[in-house]
Amino acid sequence: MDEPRRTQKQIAQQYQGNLAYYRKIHLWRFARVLASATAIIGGIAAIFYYQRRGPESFFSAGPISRAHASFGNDCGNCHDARLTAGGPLTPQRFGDIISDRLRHGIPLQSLDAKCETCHEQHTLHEPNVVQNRSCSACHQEHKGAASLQTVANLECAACHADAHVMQASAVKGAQLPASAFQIHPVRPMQLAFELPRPSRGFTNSFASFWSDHPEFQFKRDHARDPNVLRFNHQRHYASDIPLLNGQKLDCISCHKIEEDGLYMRRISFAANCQACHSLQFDPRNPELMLPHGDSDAVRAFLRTLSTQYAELAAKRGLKSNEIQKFVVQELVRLRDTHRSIDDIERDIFFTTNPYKPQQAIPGPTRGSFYGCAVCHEVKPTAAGPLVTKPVLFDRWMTHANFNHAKHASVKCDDCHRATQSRETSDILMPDKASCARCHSPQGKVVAECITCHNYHAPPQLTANASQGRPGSFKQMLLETKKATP
Amino acid sequence: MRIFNRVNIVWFLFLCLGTMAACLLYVSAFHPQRLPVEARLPKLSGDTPGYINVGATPLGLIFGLIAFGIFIFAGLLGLRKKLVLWRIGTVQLWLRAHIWLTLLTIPLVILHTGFRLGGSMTALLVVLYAIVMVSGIYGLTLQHYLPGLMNERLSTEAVSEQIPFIRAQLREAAEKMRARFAPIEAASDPKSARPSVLTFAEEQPGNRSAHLASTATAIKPVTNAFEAAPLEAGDPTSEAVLVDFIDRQVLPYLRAGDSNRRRLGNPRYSEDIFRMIKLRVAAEYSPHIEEIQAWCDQRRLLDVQTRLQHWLHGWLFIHVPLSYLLIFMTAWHAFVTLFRY
Repeated sequence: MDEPRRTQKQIAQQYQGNLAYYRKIHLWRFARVLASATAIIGGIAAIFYYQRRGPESFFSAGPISRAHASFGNDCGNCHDARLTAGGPLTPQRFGDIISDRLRHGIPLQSLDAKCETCHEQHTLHEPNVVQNRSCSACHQEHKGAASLQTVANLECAACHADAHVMQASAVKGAQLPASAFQIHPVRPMQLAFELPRPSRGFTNSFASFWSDHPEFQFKRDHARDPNVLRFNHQRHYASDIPLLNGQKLDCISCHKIEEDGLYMRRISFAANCQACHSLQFDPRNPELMLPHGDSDAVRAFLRTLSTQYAELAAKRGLKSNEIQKFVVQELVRLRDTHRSIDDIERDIFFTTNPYKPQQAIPGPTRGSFYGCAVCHEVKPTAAGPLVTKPVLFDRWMTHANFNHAKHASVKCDDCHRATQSRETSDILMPDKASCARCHSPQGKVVAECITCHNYHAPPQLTANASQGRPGSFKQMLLETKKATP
Repeated sequence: MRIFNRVNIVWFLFLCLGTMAACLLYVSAFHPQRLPVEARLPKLSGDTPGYINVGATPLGLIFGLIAFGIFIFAGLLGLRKKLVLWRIGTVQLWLRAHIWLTLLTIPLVILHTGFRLGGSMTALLVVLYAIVMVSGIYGLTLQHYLPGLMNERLSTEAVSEQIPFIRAQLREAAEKMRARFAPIEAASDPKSARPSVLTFAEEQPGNRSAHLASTATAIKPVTNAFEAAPLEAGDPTSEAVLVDFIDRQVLPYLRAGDSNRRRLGNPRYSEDIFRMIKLRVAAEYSPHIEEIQAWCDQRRLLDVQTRLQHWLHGWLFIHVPLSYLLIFMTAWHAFVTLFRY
């Protein structure tokens, strides 16, 4: 600064005649006050207008889901627009509401009640849940058109990643009868492989499937398939197994997906075994087959052999005198190898290989009966041989859902490892690591909790499973609260 | 308001600690699994665990209410400035609190929203808040840099409210001088005078020392300076030149509302033209020319000051009205969400 500054006196002299300047209206300041007043008055006017006449959509927290799109802008379908205070808003009431909100948050009970007017019988989760959850906690509305059924892992992790909550849940679960937990959905007529519920229930705390989700229970408990049927998966992949319909035997030769693509149809002898394992009783008469599924029927069949041969002869078109001759001839031949019918019966039920395959005879007609005991557990009883009925499970992991159709691009053996299994007792279900290979950030396949698990029990099961328990989980919690002093 | 000030370090630390505490509470309430160690912090996620509409949870409400309280406090700054004798902290302390507390609302508001814009009402609030904050930070930056710039560029700084009054004084002084010289017929015909002045101006190179000397006289109060140099009977030619110059350039410049477009608004041009005028008039008129030049210089400085003042306070036209609007809208938002829906 090379220019000299003025003294205070010089400056003051310059203002002589205008010393009351601060009383005058300053244009800029006035304009600013005017702008502020306009903003305030305009704002208040807009507030009053919107509060009374404005579209309710203005207050919406975001676009509503596709499922509720029919509600349009009628917020009253879900929200109670009346003053929550329920009466005049006195200072006391105001203070109470603020205090309540700061302790508990914005209440969602009224929203939940509205949900349940349409969504009935949605019993919630396991009975040992210790924290109430609002419908809105998981099914978050006002987040666009996406499905409300898409629940983020975070919602599940709110409890399942919290060790304290899980501990409290384990304690509560220990006080409940085991029957209270039987709510896992299994279709009618389906048989599910159920292991006993662990003493602590399923209360391990974890953050994500791929990281620390517990190993599947059957694997963790080293469970075995209790089925007594003898079946060797590995043997069926062997190269010496004859072709079926011109093709090598593989998984889908026997295991067929149900129409809905979710699970596999139950294996049956007639549909899946008989094509190879025909019950040809007599190698010389391959058309004559033992009945399957009932040992009494087999015994009855053997004790009426003359009739069976006669019927076979009739089918072959022999004349009546030839039929009798054929029957006698076949019975005599049998006596050459067996001393009595009991001897034949013993052979069929207990011998593991009464007839070797007749390789020279074409497939469909050759005798290839290996004996009941090859596959079945056969016990001798006073009333005759008893074949233990095999137990074939339709569902193995009832806590989870699975969709085989969606996994069509994956080889069966990648998950089930059937080619390495020789024992029926092997449970050929994938372990957690198999699933996590794909269902993880590394595998880049979705790994949300709801990919496999359901939170709600389906309504039709709820009615049965919740007998003796409150109809609604929330109702149950409310009753618990009431009971608590 | 200097930002890089030792006092502000304490406020900056307060801001950092406040932000960290808010973030810690947020993570512990809504994402406890992300904490490296288990922290025993109050459960503020409310009765609806996992309900990620953060604003509706106790913690979200606490964040929102603190931010709203800060908004109201920030709005009271204007009142505090009016009530000079109000003994609740100095205005400077209020200004610092205004700045740093409103900066603290940034994490509070973001955490309150749960990183969502929401619907129309909340989006409007967020946009309003963003405008207020951006304008405030812009204003803070200007307030940090412009005072230094003014100190550097303005040799004399007037009380901003007095600028129109001083401008009027300068104009009146020039008109009085013009009245002393008038009426001179030669000067009444501008066409005869103008070519000679301009031609002369173009012929003479600039002289910096002469300009400084003339500017130095500008520090004298306007009216006193003029009255201290009474005119005597003199050279009609010189007076004609002076009158012509005053009529054509000085008075239009001093009367102009927007003087930037006038040629005398250019300091280089002004310096040259006054030097030329001095050469055109008799020596006894030099003090008058210096007087006129001082008025023009002062006018130029006042214009610079006005311009800088506009920059310094112009952002308040956005910041202040929208801040009040924000307070009302936030109150409405709080009412609707706490007591309705």
